[in-house]
Amino acid sequence: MPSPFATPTGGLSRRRFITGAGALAGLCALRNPTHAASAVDTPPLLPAGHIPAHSASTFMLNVGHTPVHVLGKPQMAPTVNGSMPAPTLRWREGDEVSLHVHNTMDEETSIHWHGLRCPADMDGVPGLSFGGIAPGQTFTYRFPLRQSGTYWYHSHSNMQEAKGLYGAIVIDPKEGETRSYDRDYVIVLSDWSDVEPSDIIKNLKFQSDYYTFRQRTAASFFPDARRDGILPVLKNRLQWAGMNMSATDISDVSGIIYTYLMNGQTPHANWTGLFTPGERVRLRFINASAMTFYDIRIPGLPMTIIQSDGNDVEPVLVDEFRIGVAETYDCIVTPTAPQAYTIFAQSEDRTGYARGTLAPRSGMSAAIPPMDPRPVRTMLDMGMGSDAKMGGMDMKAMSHTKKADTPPLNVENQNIAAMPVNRLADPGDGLRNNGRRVLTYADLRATRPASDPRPPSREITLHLTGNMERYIWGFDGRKFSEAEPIPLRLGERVRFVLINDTMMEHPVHLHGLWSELENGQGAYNPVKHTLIVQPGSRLSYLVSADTPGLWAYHCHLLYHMDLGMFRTVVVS
Amino acid sequence: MNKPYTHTARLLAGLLACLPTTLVPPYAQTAEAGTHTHAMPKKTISGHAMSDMDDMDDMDGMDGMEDMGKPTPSLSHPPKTVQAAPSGITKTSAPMPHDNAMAGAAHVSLPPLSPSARWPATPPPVPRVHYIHNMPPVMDHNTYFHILMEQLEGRYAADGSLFRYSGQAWFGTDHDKLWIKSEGTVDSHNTMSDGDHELLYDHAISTYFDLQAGTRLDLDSGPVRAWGAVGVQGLALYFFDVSATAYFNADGVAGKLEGSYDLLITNRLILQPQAELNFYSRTDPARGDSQGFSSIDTGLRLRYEFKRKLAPYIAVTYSGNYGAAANTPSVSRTTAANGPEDLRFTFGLRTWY
Repeated sequence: MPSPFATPTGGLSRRRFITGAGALAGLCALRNPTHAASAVDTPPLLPAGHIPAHSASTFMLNVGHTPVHVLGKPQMAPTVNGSMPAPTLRWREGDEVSLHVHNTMDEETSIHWHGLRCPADMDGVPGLSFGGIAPGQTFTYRFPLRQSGTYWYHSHSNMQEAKGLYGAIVIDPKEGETRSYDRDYVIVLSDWSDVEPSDIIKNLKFQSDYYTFRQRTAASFFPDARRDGILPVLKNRLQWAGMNMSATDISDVSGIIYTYLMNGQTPHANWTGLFTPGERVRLRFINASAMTFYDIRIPGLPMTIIQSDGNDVEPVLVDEFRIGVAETYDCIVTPTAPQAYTIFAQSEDRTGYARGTLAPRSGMSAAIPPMDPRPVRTMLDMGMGSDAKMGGMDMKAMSHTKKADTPPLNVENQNIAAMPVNRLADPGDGLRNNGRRVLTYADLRATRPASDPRPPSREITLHLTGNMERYIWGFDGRKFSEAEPIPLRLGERVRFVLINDTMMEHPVHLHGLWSELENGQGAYNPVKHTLIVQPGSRLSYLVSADTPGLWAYHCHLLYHMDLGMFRTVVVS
Repeated sequence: MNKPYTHTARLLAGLLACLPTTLVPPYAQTAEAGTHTHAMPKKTISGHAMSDMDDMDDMDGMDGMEDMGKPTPSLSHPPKTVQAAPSGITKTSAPMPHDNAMAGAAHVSLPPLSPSARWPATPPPVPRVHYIHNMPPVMDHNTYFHILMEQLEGRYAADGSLFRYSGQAWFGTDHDKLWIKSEGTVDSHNTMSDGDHELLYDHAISTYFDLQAGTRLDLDSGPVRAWGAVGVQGLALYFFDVSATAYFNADGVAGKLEGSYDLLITNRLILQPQAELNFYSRTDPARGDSQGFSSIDTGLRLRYEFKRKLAPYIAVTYSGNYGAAANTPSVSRTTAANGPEDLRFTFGLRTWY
């Protein structure tokens, strides 16, 4: 077993790098060597997915507009040191990092360190943490690292994140790696479009199914009816129409305008990570997308999940896992055969996929599996409970959701989940009964007990709400600008209960504080920074409010966040 | 629990145990041996290759597989944690993919709240938050401008063609908007009829409906009339677009009902039945308005959305005038030189911004 301190990276010999350079040429072209002619470190120029060989603590990050060539024709994107995704930063737990972020753009910018437990004024949310970084200005972030694992960073200004301003962070544990592995790659998934985020928002506002071209139609009625019978199909369709809801509403923005990228490369460009057969390869998946959930698998290669959101979990062997926007999952794979394996990340709505390859040599590729059928929402997603349970249940039992807790049905809220259920053991829509071992939240178990053993002293219940037709999102039937902040006492431990009244998954992210998911593992509940709340479900997590300040709390689907599914959490 | 699946799972688990151990990472083996009855991937469910995004229409995928009519098998036991020897690796007895339904962990017992004098169960007072530079972290209260030309069309007949438009535009926020509606018909002699132009304040009052109030001006080649207007517009259940407006002036009252429905034949080919009905409390011969049910303008439009914002259509349109003023020689409300009933073949363009 290798020494726990000698954590090798996916580093290639120079010769191998040159052989692989063809595939990487497109990307390298955008990596203008930066002229950060200062005493501080510029993150090294590495092939996509590779992790710097050594950690560093001082960085110069230049945020600027750079032409990138993802879709052939050059397109201006906000980048860090000319690179999209932004360079991978390798840090070391226990160090204090200094990050000099210089803005060369003509618009304000900011960098948020996603999942990092830093002082509130270093969190990088304009308006809450600081005043943003004005054009031409440099802001220095400086904070101690009290954690390790895989994280990421992104802009929190002007939808720059949706346009390419995101990158990976790898923090080495102070005590050395607990897992052994021979190679280490980051895999940053993102959704790329040449449509301006502001246009996407307008299109969704004026027609919420603007990007959905897989609705049920008259033409699809006949095959459906042949399979399921005319009356059931008719009944089902009328039931959905009777609620002004669409069962085919999976992702608001689809592959019709998105190209799904793996480490900044299109499926065609085929990002490749090399291995020697028999090696243990660590893959650090980061979902840096604006709006896309992925279902990830490597056909022929089971994955052992070892970490989520930067925190180690007990190993779970799976064939597939779903990664919500802003989540991270680390896994170890052990390819033994000298063959290529496809890393296949299909979008939840099955309108496209990100793809890469693990191979013993560059230039190899394996078959790309067909995408699964797209999921269809059910009454479970509407919060009507499971049909199995409904059978023996009368309406009285349904009203166990307390009246006082339910949000209003109003301009900003379209639905109330009458019977929200626990879906932690449900892999999610489109993943049930697919013949593969799919990770669920119930599988996650921390490797060390929670640092705060106290039970919670109080409970905060929030409903995730929205009106798809008006494209307004919020909590408890109110968007951010109409709601009060959520106050927490410094030092208190509280339980957040989230009930998802909408029919979509929301990845809910609390800045600055950990979210300990209550999935039945007690002291070993998994510790996360972003939690998928499945539609029609209820989940809870514990938060120790140990860091004072104003913290952002929001759905990490960027257009949901920007249109109101956001709250300020005040710890004081 | 779904019996056949259990059987299959056991069978596959047996097969799995026979797999060469080199294929499975060491700690995975422990987990497998300890607690799993999972199957290795046996098959790939065939999906749709996605070569051309424009061909994504109408792929209904697994409609049947996950339909609500079919109870998803639920897991009867909550997840337990099983300590697997000897490496200290644990694996939750995770519900199998075959039966991991929503109710899997339905009864996770949560530690009860334990408030104290130091940490009370009541929330603290909400502090006033000062956003730095008065900059809210998200801009969820923006104003938007939207214009929709539902009808921009030529109506053809042997004795001359008509040009017809009907559109709406609004400017405002989620809750409050300034709303403009305008429609009119022009004949081949450049005579305009049915010129109805409204300026309304619009306020969202419910999930799907807005209240509108303002003015209407009948402005075309006929005499001018002005009205006050109050109405509702929105999306009725079953996705019907509807509006109902009442108009009033010194001479009487009027009403207009409009409705349309988008029937998706495919995801881009859309058949839209649409109708507009006008009512008046008194006959206005100069404008061709009759007391009672005065006129209807209706169409069945088949559009193809090359782009969401640009959809040409073919249609059959019908306009009819009824009542006392239906046959007045003056400019009627809906058709200029034609009779009271007018069925036409129509080409048009639906567009929005």
